[in-house]
Amino acid sequence: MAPDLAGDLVRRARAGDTTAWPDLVERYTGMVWAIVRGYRLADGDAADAVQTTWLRLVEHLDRIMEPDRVGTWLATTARNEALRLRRIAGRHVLVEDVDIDVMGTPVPVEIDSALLREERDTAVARALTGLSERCQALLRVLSADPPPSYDEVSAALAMPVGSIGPTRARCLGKLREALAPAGAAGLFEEKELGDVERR
Amino acid sequence: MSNAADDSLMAELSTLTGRTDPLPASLRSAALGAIAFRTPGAHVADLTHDSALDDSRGSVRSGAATQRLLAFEAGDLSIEVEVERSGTARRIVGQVVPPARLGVVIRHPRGEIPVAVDELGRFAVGGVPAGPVSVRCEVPRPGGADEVVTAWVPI
Repeated sequence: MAPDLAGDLVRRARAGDTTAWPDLVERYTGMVWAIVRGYRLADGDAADAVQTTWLRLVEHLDRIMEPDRVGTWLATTARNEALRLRRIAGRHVLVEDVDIDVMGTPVPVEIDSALLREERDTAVARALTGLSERCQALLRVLSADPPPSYDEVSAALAMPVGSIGPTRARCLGKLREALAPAGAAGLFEEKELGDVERR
Repeated sequence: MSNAADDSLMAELSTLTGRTDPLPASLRSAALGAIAFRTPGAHVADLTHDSALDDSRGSVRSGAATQRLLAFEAGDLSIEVEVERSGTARRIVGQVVPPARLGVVIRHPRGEIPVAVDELGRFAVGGVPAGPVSVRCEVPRPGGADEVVTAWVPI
């Protein structure tokens, strides 16, 4: 959405126009979800982060300095809410005997195999989990529908705007590399089986 | 400048993600409903302290901390809240300083819980659902009252 259009929606929502809010939500709800999932929040925390982000926008509706940049404001807020919950969840995960690096342990994303229609989907999903957390987060945010602007991506991930393009290219390159051996899937499975038998 | 192969792979990721991890309908509804919580003219008391974000890892190792302390400020008004977890419900014990004798309400996405306040500005309520919460109060001012709401915080 063009920034000035988003700004108009904010101004209209401020003025009490009840039709503006749904349009604003529709434009950015995908992005907010993608950001909190990019930060690997489990379902309950992800829901809290999304909900809190929108409530914070309502709370600040009259105070937003640049309505045209509401997308960036939402991205920053979603990031802050995700980081807060991730930090708190990390603390609750710490157990007496185990020392876990709070920020370094990703929450595994459950992939419902019923939804994966083709081998390709499986291969892509698996290849994604092999990428760095940074790449996974970037690709997750970029895959939002509608796609976020680079300003919004920058705010979501605290990544300089200028580095988004090159990082995107690098991450997609790594994904493509990881997908390349998928043609030799049979070989891969044999090796796995061998490992199991050796134990 | 991205190339066609990158764009194509990115489009594939978008489609895959849309299929495997879509935004839950309930969250879309929640976002749409958030506008109902607008309080034009209210002062927002910002979060100034959250014990859950303390760097004292020692307290976590010694056992799960079930109490969380939140502090909010708006000008000369401060609101302190202690949150106790009990499964998926929360018990909230708080205090408004200077005391607010008029209408304190615990707001959460599914409704509001009005709470009684004593002469010291203290209040307590159980059964608050886990999730975002905001305390709304009216503070007497010469000639009327100011409405104050604490910044939404997930508990």
